[in-house]
Amino acid sequence: MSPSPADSTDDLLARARGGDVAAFSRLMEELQPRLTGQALAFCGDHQRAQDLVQETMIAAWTSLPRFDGSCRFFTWLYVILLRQHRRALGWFARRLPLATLEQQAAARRLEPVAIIDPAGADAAESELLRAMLTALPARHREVVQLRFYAGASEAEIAAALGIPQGTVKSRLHNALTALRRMKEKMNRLRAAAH
Amino acid sequence: MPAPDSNDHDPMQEALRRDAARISEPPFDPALHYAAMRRIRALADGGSKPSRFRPMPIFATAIAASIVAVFLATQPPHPSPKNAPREATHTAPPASLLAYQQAAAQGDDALFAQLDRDAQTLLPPSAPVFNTSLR
Repeated sequence: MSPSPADSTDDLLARARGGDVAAFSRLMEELQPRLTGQALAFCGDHQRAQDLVQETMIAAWTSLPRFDGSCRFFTWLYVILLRQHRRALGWFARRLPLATLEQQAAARRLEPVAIIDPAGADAAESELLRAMLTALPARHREVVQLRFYAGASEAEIAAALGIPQGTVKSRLHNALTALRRMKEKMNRLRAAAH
Repeated sequence: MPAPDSNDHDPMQEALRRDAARISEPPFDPALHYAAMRRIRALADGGSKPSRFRPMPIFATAIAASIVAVFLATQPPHPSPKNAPREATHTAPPASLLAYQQAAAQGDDALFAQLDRDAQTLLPPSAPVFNTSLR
């Protein structure tokens, strides 16, 4: 459904904030595919991704008065998605995907896929990156996801999270440093397995 | 501190951008949308529009807390392990200073035997034996 010129995102947002459910529905129709794609990337499970999107939509509706327009609406929605995901994930699942991948790397199970098939190499890289992201502390993970996956600027991230821009910079720096270290560790494990 | 934005050729940042670009958007899912909107309409019908302040949960919690407080306040105190020894001290026979003086006069063995007997029941801190020194 393509919105008419009168139904720009800003108009729809203003109406939704005033309690117009139909306007909110139109907004979400536009953003649902992108939101679902992101949810699917980090859940890896279609049903869980759908649940996550549904909970995000409901949380967005109830929190809509708090949206002050200082960042894009999608960035704000993405923060809600990340926090719903974190809640669903639970603290104990944090390091599990990376630990599994480390074991696979040590057992050389990741290597053949990357060598034989370029598409498999892409998939392996994605799997590794997302597992490494899961292993980051939540506050570091969310700035990386907002910056690189939601395409938000540092200023937008600062506004969406309600933190100073300098904090965003330092969290990004620390997160990227941690990711590089994890990658080096994975490479060492692979090399040791040869 | 290096700014992540300033280094576009960092392999890690490039890998993250590549991964983000690989995420595909599934087609619009009407069932998901309508399921979510049904719940949102139910919320909206209940509260007319999204609200920052929702007093109902606060009132409900306050009422529940009041009921619990009134219930606890009106309950008679029932014996607990903490109270039991204190009651025992009230029922214990008061120690006699004279008995200790007599036992002390008979010798150490008699005094210790008296102490052992009284140790069977816990004496209250107000017992005379604790207030007057033995001669």
